[in-house]
Amino acid sequence: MTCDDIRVRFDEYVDGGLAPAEREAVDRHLDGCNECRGEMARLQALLAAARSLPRRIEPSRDLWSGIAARLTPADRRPPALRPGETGEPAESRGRRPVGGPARRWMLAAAAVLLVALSAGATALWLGRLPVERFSQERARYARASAALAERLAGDAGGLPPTTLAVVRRNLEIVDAAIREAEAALATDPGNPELEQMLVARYEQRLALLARATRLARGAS
Amino acid sequence: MSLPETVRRAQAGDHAAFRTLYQEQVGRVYAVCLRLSGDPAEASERTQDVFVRAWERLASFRGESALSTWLHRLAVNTVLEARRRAARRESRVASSADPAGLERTAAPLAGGGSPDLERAIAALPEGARLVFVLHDVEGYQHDEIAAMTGIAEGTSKAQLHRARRLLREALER
Repeated sequence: MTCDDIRVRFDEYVDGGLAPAEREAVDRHLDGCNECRGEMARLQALLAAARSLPRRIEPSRDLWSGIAARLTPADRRPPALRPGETGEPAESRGRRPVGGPARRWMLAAAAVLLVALSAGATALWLGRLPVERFSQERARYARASAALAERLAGDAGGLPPTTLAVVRRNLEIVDAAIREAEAALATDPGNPELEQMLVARYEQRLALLARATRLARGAS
Repeated sequence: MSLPETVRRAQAGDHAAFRTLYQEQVGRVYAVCLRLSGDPAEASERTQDVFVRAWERLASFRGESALSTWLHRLAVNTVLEARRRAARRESRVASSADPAGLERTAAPLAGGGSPDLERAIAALPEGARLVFVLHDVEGYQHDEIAAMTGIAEGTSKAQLHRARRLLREALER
């Protein structure tokens, strides 16, 4: 092999990506070629220098004041959803809440939230919504989801058992997707694609709950 | 106060605890932002963004990885997201034409770093710089870089090859 043939393999050589036979061929060439040996030494020195760059560099000015001014007050910070939590209060599952005007108001509020969230999620998906808004979207989702789930729990008796089973199965599927996205975000925080995917799943769950609620109302 | 306790307090909304975390971690976050952006002013902005986003998301930090690892990933995502937004606006491309901007980093680097290498990295074309920093400084693999930046794995390899060649040439001058 020529020097050019060898040098195009240098990157894979230093990154450990060459097959053993190719690696041996490069080694043999390096043994007999001063120029390529020098080139390889410079490449390895560069990589060693890159690896030994300091892990910390202090900024030349204090950045805290700019950060502190932007922090949401603690009492207004949206709560995080834990894995498996989907914004639905545990006590609402499988329980018929007491009906009345309060519930009707709650449903109306949930509908407003659903519209707001859908618009937010769509904007986020299209890249128009600042990613910083993600946590707000999540908080809104939690409230809307809880309200709709409670409403559905109250009306679920109006649904035929087979429909109810389908709704529950679909909710489980969406919840699993939500848990998966939440887990991925725990290890890859701030990943915009994951955040967008999660908001889309939230929206999917809300749409499912809203549709099931409409069906239950129509059936009862 | 131990680090887990400081994290727990910050998760509960304690600004003072969060400031302690900031003080402990800002050097590492700033270093990542500076090398990826190649510009101290932008690095300062991104560092602030990272900590604001960290505050918003801290409750979802589960402690499965070290806080520094979690913040590091958040920093990379924040810089890359800002770069995507800038590209969408077709303006405000991070300037790498003025390596003098890195002069301010020379002092902290003098203890054990390599100011020449830092300047040469900052002067790389943006695509080559991002891949070099992510791969050779931060240790990400090409498939991870491709997923994070939205470029093909082959493009990542090509950019790395280009970056390494340009850096060797710059350092030999």
